[in-house]
Amino acid sequence: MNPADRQQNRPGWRILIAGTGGQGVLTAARLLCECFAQLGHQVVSGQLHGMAQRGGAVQSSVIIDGGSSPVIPSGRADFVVGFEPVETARALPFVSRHTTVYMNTAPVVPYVLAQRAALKKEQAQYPDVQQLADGVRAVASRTFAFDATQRAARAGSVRALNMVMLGCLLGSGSLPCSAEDFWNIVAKRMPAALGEANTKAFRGGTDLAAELQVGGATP
Amino acid sequence: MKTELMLGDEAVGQAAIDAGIAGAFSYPGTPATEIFEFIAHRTKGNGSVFTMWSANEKVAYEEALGMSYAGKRAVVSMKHVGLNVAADPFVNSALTGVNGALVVVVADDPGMHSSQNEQDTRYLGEFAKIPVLEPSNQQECYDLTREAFELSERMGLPVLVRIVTRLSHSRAVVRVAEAKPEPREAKPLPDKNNWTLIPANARRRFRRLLDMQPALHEYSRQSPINKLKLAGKRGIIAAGIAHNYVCEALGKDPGDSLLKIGTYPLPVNLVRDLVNHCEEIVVVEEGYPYIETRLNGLLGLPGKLVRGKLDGTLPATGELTPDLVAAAFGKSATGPREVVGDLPGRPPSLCKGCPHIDTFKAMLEATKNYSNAVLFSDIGCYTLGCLPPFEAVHSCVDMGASISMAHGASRAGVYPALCTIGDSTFTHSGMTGLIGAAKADADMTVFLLDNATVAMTGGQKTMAAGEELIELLKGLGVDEEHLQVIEPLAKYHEQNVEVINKALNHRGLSVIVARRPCIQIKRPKKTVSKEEKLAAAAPGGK
Repeated sequence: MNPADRQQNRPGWRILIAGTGGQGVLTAARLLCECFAQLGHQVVSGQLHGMAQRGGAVQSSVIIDGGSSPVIPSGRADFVVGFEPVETARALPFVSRHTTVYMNTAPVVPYVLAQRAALKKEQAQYPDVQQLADGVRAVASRTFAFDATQRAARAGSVRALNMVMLGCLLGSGSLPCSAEDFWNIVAKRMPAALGEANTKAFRGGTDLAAELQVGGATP
Repeated sequence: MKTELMLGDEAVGQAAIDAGIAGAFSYPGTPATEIFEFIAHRTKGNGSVFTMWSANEKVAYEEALGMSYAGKRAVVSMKHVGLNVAADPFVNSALTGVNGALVVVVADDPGMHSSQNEQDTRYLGEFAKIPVLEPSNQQECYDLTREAFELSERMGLPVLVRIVTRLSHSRAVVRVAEAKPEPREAKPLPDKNNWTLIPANARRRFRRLLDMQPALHEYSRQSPINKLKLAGKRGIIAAGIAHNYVCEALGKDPGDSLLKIGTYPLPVNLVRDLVNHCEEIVVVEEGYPYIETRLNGLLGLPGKLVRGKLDGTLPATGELTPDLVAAAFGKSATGPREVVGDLPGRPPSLCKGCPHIDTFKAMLEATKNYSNAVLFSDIGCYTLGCLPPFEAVHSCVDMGASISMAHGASRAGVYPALCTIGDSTFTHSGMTGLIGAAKADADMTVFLLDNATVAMTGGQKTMAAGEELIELLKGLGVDEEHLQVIEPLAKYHEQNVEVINKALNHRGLSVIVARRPCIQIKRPKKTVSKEEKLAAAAPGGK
């Protein structure tokens, strides 16, 4: 079922953004909220960071025209935007075969793995990224994996990773707002310091969406 | 009408500003921190609202109560366990009553995302016999907080607004109502006998509080916040944020009867109407089974099937989710699905370069030959010393408990008895324990971890740091000879171990101040690269 057909059966768009502290997950969610709120959509967005604010796992939901619960039920995400491979895999409970998944393949190695390795307690290894992607793809065939961190670096700063991911999400054309309109609305909310890199990164993301043909056939 | 995208916490804060508060009082604590921060940020420089972090929640409550006494409106906000600290003025302020409106906003943390328990504040509202309002979404966070101010002045009582983590930290569009015109005149001072709770006055005031209870019930009976829809023979009672999950699980028109609750004491008339109409009642509420317990009473409801957390329809602990609520109504969720393989976790950990790391290393080395050493810890980042690689911490109970518990344990023969407490937790509730331990010259070693900030909640200002702390310690009676300052850095490791050893050998009270600023607030200049400076200003930050 393609997104448009699915839309008729279940109103609203449910987006889950997953990553680690410092990757800009919460900012990405806030920009989506501000854009769709300004366009007159009903928006609710949840976030959980708790004690894990520094380098911990961060998940944020953005629900557009889908009621007032900030929590996405399992298997009900329309989009999972994974800023990091392990965190994308951790979001699998939200994924069904109808979900479109964008997955950054550049890992952020958890501190505990480095620590375990240092203590030589056990052989601590980051999981194989290809296997993680395959695992997610086994559930959602529309899973697109790419190195978004590299794209951000090419745009001028790895800190613009969230803009690459947003560019990809908006560039897919599956949300009720074009990438162009989105950028026009949120651009003025960007601090000047990273402005150029953010713009380039967002464009990089929309290009990526076109390359991956996310708007069209299955990958 | 103005609309704005807001966190639940922010909506509460905006409502307090619009209600015409003269002051906001709080102590940082997740998930309530952003209420005060929003008010402080929004009113910065306009001079009409006093905002300053208080030393602890009890102080915050009393400051707000004093402002109310003087006839101005005040808001005091805190996390659920903060109300335990403020319980004394909270309960007694129901007897004195209020003058200017006093609204207490408490954010519960079901699921214990960042707390040591998941107590349900509705019980404390009932305990104090005051009205409690419970919003179900961000709009109601705004509307019900505005309502709370009006109700507080009308009833002459403090009013409690109860929210939960998911509401505090979720964002939605909020319609903001007309602000109360400024400046508000202070109401004249109240009858001083009503506020002086010597037994003769207290008995009279408690009688008044009891006599007011019917008015509180009447308010709930008539409040449009509660909504009853009678339909099918299955009835649902949904309170606060749980109402969203019920709607999500059952869709727009489920055919069931539904009572949405947002005020306490409970609207008995609506509950009775629902029970009379239905054969089965499912209670969905976040926190403890408060409504369900009251509905069942001691002996149950004859002929009715009451379901909820008591009979296992919903789990008795943890946070509700749409999945759990759907399952309670016999709707299987799509998942939950197994995650891919064995994923490494990302537990919270001390930051790279954190001063606490060096303190723990020195402490562990100094105590390695003592098999019976016990380290009482406290609430802050340093609690993470309980995790590998340190595994050094033996307790974390409540704010300030480390010093008092170490004292008690030392009297039971524990040697060496150690404790760690941060600078902000120390001025919150540690000083009172230390003044006794100093007076008694207890055989224990206190590590005062001075990182000059409230680090765990995001770096709020602390009451005392650096030399101020030293003066404070001396003033509390700590012997200067056994008061040492160390700088927790790897290069001073050997000499720090020596200082600790000396303290352990002293069979009386020793205090070691481990002083180095939190790396999140202050980083050595040379390590800040140009890129990081840019990044600090970027939207990608935390």
